[in-house]
Amino acid sequence: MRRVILYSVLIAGAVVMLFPFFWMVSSSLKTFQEVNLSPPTMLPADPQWSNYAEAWGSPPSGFGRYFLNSLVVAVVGTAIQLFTGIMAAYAFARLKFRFSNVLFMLVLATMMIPFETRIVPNYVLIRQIPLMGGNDIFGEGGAGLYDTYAGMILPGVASAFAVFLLRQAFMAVPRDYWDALRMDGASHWTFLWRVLIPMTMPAVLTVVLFGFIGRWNELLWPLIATQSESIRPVQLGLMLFSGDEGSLYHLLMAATTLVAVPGIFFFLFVQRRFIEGLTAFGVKG
Amino acid sequence: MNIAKKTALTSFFLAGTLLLTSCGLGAAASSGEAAISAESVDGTDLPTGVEIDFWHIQATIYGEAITEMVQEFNATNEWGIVVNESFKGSYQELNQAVRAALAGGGAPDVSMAYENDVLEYVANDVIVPLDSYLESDNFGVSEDDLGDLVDGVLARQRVDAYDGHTLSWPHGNSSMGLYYNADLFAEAGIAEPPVDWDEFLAQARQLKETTGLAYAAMGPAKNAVFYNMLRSKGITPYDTGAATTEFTSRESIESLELLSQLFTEELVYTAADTEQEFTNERTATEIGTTARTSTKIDQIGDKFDWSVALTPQETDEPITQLFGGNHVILASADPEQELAAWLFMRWFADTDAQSIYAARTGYSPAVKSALDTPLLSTNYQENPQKADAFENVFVNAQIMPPTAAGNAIDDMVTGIVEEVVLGWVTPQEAAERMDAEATRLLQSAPQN
Amino acid sequence: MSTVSMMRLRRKRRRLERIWLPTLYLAPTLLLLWAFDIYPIFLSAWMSLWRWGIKAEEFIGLDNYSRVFDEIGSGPGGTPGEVGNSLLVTAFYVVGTVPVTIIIAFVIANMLNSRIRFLAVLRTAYFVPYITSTVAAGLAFVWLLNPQIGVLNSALESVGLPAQQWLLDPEPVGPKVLSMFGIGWSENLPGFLEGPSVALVCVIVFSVWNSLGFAVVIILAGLVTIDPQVKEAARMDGVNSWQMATRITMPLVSPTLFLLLIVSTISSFQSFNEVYVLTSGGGYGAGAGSPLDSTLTLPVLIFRHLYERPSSVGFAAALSMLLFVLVLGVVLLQFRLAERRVHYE
Repeated sequence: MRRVILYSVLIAGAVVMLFPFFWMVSSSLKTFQEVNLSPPTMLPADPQWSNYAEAWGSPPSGFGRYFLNSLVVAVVGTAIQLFTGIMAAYAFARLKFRFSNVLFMLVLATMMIPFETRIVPNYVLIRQIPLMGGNDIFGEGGAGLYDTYAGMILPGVASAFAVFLLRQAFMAVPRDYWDALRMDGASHWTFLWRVLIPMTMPAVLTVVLFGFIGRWNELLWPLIATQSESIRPVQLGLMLFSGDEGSLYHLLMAATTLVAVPGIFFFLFVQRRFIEGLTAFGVKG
Repeated sequence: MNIAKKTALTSFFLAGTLLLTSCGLGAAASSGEAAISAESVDGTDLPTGVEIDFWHIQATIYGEAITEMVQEFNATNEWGIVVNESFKGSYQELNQAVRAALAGGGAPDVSMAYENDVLEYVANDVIVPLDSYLESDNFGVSEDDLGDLVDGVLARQRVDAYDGHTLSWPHGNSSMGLYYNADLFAEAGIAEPPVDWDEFLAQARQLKETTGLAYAAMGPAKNAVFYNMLRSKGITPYDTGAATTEFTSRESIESLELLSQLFTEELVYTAADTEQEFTNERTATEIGTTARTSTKIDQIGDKFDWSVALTPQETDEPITQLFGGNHVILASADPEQELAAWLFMRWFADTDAQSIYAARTGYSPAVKSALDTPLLSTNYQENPQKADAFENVFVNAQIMPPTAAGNAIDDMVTGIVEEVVLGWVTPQEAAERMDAEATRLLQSAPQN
Repeated sequence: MSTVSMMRLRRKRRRLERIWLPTLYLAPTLLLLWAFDIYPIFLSAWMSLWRWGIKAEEFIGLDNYSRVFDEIGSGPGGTPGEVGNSLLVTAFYVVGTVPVTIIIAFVIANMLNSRIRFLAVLRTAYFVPYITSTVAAGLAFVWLLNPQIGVLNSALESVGLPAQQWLLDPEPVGPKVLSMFGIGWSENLPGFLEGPSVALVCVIVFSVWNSLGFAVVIILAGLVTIDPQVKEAARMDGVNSWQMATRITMPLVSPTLFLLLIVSTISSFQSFNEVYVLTSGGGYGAGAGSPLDSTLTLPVLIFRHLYERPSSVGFAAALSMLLFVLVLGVVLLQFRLAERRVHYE
């Protein structure tokens, strides 16, 4: 009986959660005329698989190029975010030092201001970074990291969310582990990478998952930081289907579906590790 | 932690900030230059292969048309100018990108801008006035060519607020028209679209009686329809120079009463997407931008017979709203770049480019001569509604007088009209509130 | 080795741990955050002292702030002004989204943490909204809520209830719901008691839907690290499922729940996209925050002043500082009140 309730609640919830996704896929297979019909058709009258090919080939450089660009930004960005996040989280969770509370609040404070306020200062910094992209030592003369992968990646590689999430996970690990290792003369570095990280793998994977998806979905910053069409990420590709004078929803939905696929695969991978986590990473005690 | 230490820490961060800020402000300093003249423009010897950046907000078929036009210009212009176009997202995102670039460098040579932006740009001295280029012998625009521009489009580049200067040049153009479903009209025994607002109301009632359908849907932003009513009665809603309004005029109250009546009799209803209501035959008409004519052709197909007419008029001088963006030259302190930017802008608003733009999209051409090109005349023959949009509506369109307070007034009017159609306030109260608010906004707007 | 040198060595080592080690661990993050996130906050504070359009126009001291306070309560007839209305809308939004999301997510995550069939599929189903683009999801919701042809109105009408305007309805829900039961509303009651508008409630429901997947995954990540033996032992002691959830599971994932509370609160105060996609689509020039500014949260108001008002970047910066101080205050309060109850070890 309990099982029946459990399943019915979960399945009913899943249907609600999945409906818009279903809607997206269904719309992606309609013609321009059908996608604008209302009341709409639930399923496409005659599935237009060619929408996917058309959407894929729509940008001058093709969506393949955009996927590659996004992959570079997301993978490199997430890797650095994870590394810096682990280091900082360890300091906040395990090291004792002055101002630690104030500094932690300062880190959290970075999440509390609207993203628009960052655009202009970040642009100026990227553009006038000294000795890069033809700039002299005063940051003049060239374009800095404007229109480069590095310029797209740098803002956002340090993430307050990652630091916070890892800090919580690290703090949940009993102190006895550290005391025991300390007796053997182990350093903080060894403890962090050999003990703490394996024990908090679900948290680490969560950071990677949200880091990756966050970078993958970035829209405004890449738009501001790039000029060339060939360096742009997938989200800017999606913008090509909706404009001030109306949208091509059938193509937009096809492209949106394609862009969502990597995230879903990533999640499937991560949640597999979650299940393994029940046994492999289970904290004893 | 004690207070003293906290303060020390804070002041450390503050010091660093102010240092950086002062650098940032230095970079944002004006890049305006000494006034250029027609002679200096004529004297400019343009080397081949000047490269310029062009930022715009056009996606979908509009973006494709721009790519086509830029390629055409790059391939054919006699000076070897190379234009690099860059899509900069929505209007707000373009705005953000331009602001960032003005602060940090890397601003484009040509950018799209609406009148409000132009006012703000010129007040900050970041754009180059076009007068010297227009008057130039070698690179200017002749009287004949000026006469070729559609009246409202030329007027848009030379509004009063620009103090006799020409500050921008046309990008794209559309206007506010009345789409109508001829099949539904026939079913209800309506012969022609309404010529005035009384007939609009009469037809709406007739349609409701015979078919049970609503006559029109209106979006949440009802200010546009309300302005249109006022202007069709010969009233300009507000005077930007004198900071006065006509919201309490007889015509204005009449218009609000009509709107209220249309909603209480359920002849008109609010919908988020009015186009959807029209193309799916739930309303017989739609008051909307003629830019959507081309996508409507695709959406409606052969479902029903339709076209677009001028909105109802009550004076001898028909008028409706003109929409569309412009191009401006962002000052770069390099006369060659700026001249190349002008030459691209001039070409963009001329016959060849405008015939491509109008044939590929729902925009109307800025110049009448575009209608005679084989490309556009064929396109208009194949798509008679687009020809109607130009002949019936677009040639009568004029922009609303631009003011820095424009957006704030629009939002305020939208809100109060909404309250009228919901029956929360009477037309009289609404008119008085609009007048008071708009006067305050006009007075406090930065003067240019 | 002498005792003195031993002590010196130990002191040296302690110094190392107290100063250099934290510096080393924190430096990359703090440097990057300083350059890209913290410095802009200070810059914003600086800009809020100026009339600022395309660039700095005039230093006006605290004028922008006095305007912020003026517009808290200066609407016609004593109603809230633009900023006051926006604060109220933001408060409704935050209170409407954060607790609901966390509670639902906690229940779902617990269900998804059992060994059941199709676990991967079900978990993915709950995560998919987070990946589905907000724009695409918004379109689906706009259709569901369409007054003319939406599914929701069909459902209401089929059970004999009146159709609603949903996202186009600026009327507050309080009086509206009471009137359905034939109870009148007193005009003398303060305005905020009337509650959010129908449109805002729609936006809140959408936001909960949209952020649920995020919350579920975060909680799951905490749940999977709980030793199954602890629960097993509790079950042997005859603990029922309510006690299991509140006495055993909740304390054990309290660090995660606390994180979620803080992060959800912050992002809820910042939310812009959810309002934008649901209220600014369609129509010609219909601004985000419609109808009648009843969904105009503080971030949307900031957006409006940044892009749609002349020389208002300084004012937008002042509003950003107001938002910043508000969120900081709420978060500090949460730290004081809630972190005590978090069991870290």
